[in-house]
Amino acid sequence: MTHETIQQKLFALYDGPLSERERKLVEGHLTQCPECRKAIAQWKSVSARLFPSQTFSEASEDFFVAKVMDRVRSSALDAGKSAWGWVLRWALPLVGSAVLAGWAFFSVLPDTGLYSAPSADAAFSSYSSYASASGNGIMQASYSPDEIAP
Amino acid sequence: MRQYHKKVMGYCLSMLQNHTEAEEAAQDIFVKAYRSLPKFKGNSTFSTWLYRITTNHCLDVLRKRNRRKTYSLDALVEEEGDAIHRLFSSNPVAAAQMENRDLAGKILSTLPEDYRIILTLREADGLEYQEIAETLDCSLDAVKGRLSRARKQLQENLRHFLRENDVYEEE
Repeated sequence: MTHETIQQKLFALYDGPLSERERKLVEGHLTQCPECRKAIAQWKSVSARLFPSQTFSEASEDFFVAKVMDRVRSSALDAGKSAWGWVLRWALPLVGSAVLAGWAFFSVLPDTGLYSAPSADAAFSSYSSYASASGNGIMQASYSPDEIAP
Repeated sequence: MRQYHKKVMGYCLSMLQNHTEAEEAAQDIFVKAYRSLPKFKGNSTFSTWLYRITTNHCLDVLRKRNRRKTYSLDALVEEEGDAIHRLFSSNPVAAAQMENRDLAGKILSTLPEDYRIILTLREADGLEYQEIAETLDCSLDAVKGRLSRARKQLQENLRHFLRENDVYEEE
């Protein structure tokens, strides 16, 4: 292997995924090449300072776990609350409106005349026009609705 | 949760560079993961799935954090040149101290987002190439290429501070 090829493999050696044969070749090269040794040492120095290993005490770990579990529990509760919140905010008003609309449609509107089943006026008018048109003598006169209204 | 706490917290810290924010983010991630557990189909390993959630969450936090300053290299060198010099001359153990962690965050913020993510996954969390590929949903070659470019750029950014011989001597 040339120096350039070895240089490309240097960091693979540092990172670890070289085959046994490649590892031996690169390590052999490293013993003879100060430039490559320097490159690896320089990187180790950078890495050690910019990515220092982190240590956490058992107590801080316990505290962390307890906090996460608290949040998991409270988020489960919140999820339950938000389901009820949806019911209160949307489902109840919707059902209430539907009931109110049904009650208005069947009970109140017929009395106001806004909704009307065929009334006596309309029935009389249609009959009188039929009678006068047919001229069958059963009912020659036509009456105004006022005259027969109670 | 205990098994993954250190990894997720470490990743959040490296990405967000702020202990309080990292802890809050880590909590959010575990709560999110807990809720999404029924959606986990087992197509990838659990840790890859968790890393995916972590990556996306940290990116969201970073994007929402408009107030957070990202440093241009020149501005950083001008403002913090002495501190960076001290960081690279000091014992690596001192790098874990809070003020050095902040400085490390500023140095990393000079890199593009995707470089920062891939370096964090590899260097801070020790993920293997295949795991990184699955986490970032890209090919192995893309991981190798991006990692190599990210390392080159970071070293290039720090070239003034890495010249001294004492920095190179490790272990």
